[in-house]
Amino acid sequence: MSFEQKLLENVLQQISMGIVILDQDCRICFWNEFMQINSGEANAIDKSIFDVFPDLPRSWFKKKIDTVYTIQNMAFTDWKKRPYVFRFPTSRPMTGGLDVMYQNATFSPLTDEKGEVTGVLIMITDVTEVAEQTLQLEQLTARLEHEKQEQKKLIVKLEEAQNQLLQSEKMAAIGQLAAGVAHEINNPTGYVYSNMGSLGHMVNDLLAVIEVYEQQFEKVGDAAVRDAVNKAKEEYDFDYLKEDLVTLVNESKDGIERVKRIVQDLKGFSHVGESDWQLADLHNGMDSTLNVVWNEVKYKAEVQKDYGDIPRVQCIASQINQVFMNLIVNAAHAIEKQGVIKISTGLQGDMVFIRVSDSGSGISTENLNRIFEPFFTTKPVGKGTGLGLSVSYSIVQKHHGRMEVTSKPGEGTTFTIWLPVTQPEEEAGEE
Amino acid sequence: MFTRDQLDALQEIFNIAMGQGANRLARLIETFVVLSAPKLYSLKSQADPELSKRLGDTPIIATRQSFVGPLRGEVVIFFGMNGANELAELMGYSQDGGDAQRIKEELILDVTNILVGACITGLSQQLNFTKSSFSTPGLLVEGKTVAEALENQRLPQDSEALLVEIQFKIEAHAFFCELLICIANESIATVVTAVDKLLKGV
Ligand SMILES: Nc1ncnc2c1ncn2[C@@H]1O[C@H](COP(=O)(O)OP(=O)(O)OP(=O)(O)O)[C@@H](O)[C@H]1O
Ligand SMILES: [Mg+2]
Repeated sequence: MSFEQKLLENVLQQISMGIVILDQDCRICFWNEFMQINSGEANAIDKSIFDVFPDLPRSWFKKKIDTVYTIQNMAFTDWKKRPYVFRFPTSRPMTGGLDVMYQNATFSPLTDEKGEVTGVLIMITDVTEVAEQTLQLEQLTARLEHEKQEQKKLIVKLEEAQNQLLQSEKMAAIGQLAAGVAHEINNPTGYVYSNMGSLGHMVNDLLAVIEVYEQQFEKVGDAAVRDAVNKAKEEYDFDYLKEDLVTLVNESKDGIERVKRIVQDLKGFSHVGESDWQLADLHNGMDSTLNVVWNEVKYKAEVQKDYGDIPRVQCIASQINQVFMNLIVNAAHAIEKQGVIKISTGLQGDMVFIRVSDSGSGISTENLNRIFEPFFTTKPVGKGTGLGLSVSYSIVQKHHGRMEVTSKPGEGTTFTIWLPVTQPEEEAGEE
Repeated sequence: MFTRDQLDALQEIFNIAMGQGANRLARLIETFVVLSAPKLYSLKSQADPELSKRLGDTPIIATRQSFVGPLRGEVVIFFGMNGANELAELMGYSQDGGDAQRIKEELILDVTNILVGACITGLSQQLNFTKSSFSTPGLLVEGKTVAEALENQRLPQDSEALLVEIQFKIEAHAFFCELLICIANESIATVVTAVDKLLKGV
């Protein structure tokens, strides 16, 4: 060997990349130290590459070699698409996360002076370092992306929570306002109410006295007196006055009674008033509530009860009854002619549910979002105040429960109240 | 840039070179390969509409590979997304395990390498040039339309490079691709000289 040849051989052996030369049958004609060290095969020359690397994908590799022979130019492999050509242990055994050596490979034709391909030169570069870094980056990117998604979800949740907060703040504000208004109206209403009662009696008494006058008047013979009285009666339309006075007083009584009810509702809405936490039998409560509102219900609906087995529930019974009443009255109102109101109860985990379904008109989708708003009503003036459901909502919320509604316009509506059997420690008995 | 005679001669050279390329590919995959007559453009803005017209709105995979030597430039290949699987079988990839997407991409890159090698080697031989060297092929875009792919090309619309458009089809298979050979300006003079030499020799 000449000096140059020796030098060349040395360089090929020492270079820190894998160098293999194969003939067309994939027999090894040359390979350098890098290959020898990494494969552990000392006597590779003249062996088939497939014998030295039995798990080398045969048809793929053969095609690569054929490609170089056929089109007489280079071929490549990229670690991203194919991590390695020859399975070698990683070059970072201690600090790395990969267990094989990642490789880029170049296949080049070796030609003789006539231009014929005489062999394929395979050059293997160790890219484990780069692969480690790239894969780590990819993992990092994936993790960041994942975290970003999580954050997005959190933001949505936060927005929901904020909306709920706004809703309950709104409720609280309106509650305070209502409490103030209720308080202010309560006193004058009180005396107007009792005065109206007295006035009714007085009017009746007055009319009774006049009746006696009338009877005695028949006996009066003096024409001048009779004329004067009859003239006055006519002038003031006495007969009409008599009738109207009674009607007016009755209507006013009705009116002030309605005002009283509204004030009571307002008080209920703001939880002014009764406050006894107790273990209550909800079925009892429901039954007595049904009795109270029976007049509203009996001509409209058949009431079907499907009571489940539920324990006593820690609650302020009078408030819960108010909720029941609102739901039943609403259900009755929703039924135009004749229908069914179904009341069912049950226990799920540590929550009881009370479900009131009706076969009434149902609620349109755009209204469904608004029914819990105070003063939202679709009922004619004087019939609904729009407080029933918002009062119910805040009562149930105070009980750490929740209200659900499903409705199909034209088919009916179902309200479900969920209440915890026992209240969380601190809050129960606080009021 | 080119005279009529030079253009005619170049067309002839490309016809032969690409024929050789197709022939090599056919031998490799043992299937008949059909190719269109190469079309020469001297401006990118001439080639683009043709390509768009031909490939329409179908999603494509585009790859690129550079060649250096007496001829310098890049080849961009547009593959139809279909037909890659059949080619995978022809190329001996199918029994090789691994995830389908990666296999498909490796295959497309290998086909790129083969086509570019065949075409550029053929051309170099026709022009009596020494051998060219090639870079590793790479993916350019995936799943977009030609119009979108061309939009992102760095090559300015009116750059004066020699562009050659060829279409390869594999007989009886859905596979097809369009090659755009872009020869850089600085190599044009070399090409002109070589063509002139050939013309004189005739
Ligand atoms: N069961 C139901 N079926 C159909 N619509 C209902 C039902 N319950 C409530 N709604 C709708 O929700 C609105 C609000 O109900 P809510 O009980 O708060 O007020 P209201 O019944 O109108 O008045 P009130 O204060 O007298 O109860 C009603 O006006 C009605 O449109
Ligand atoms: Mg109501």
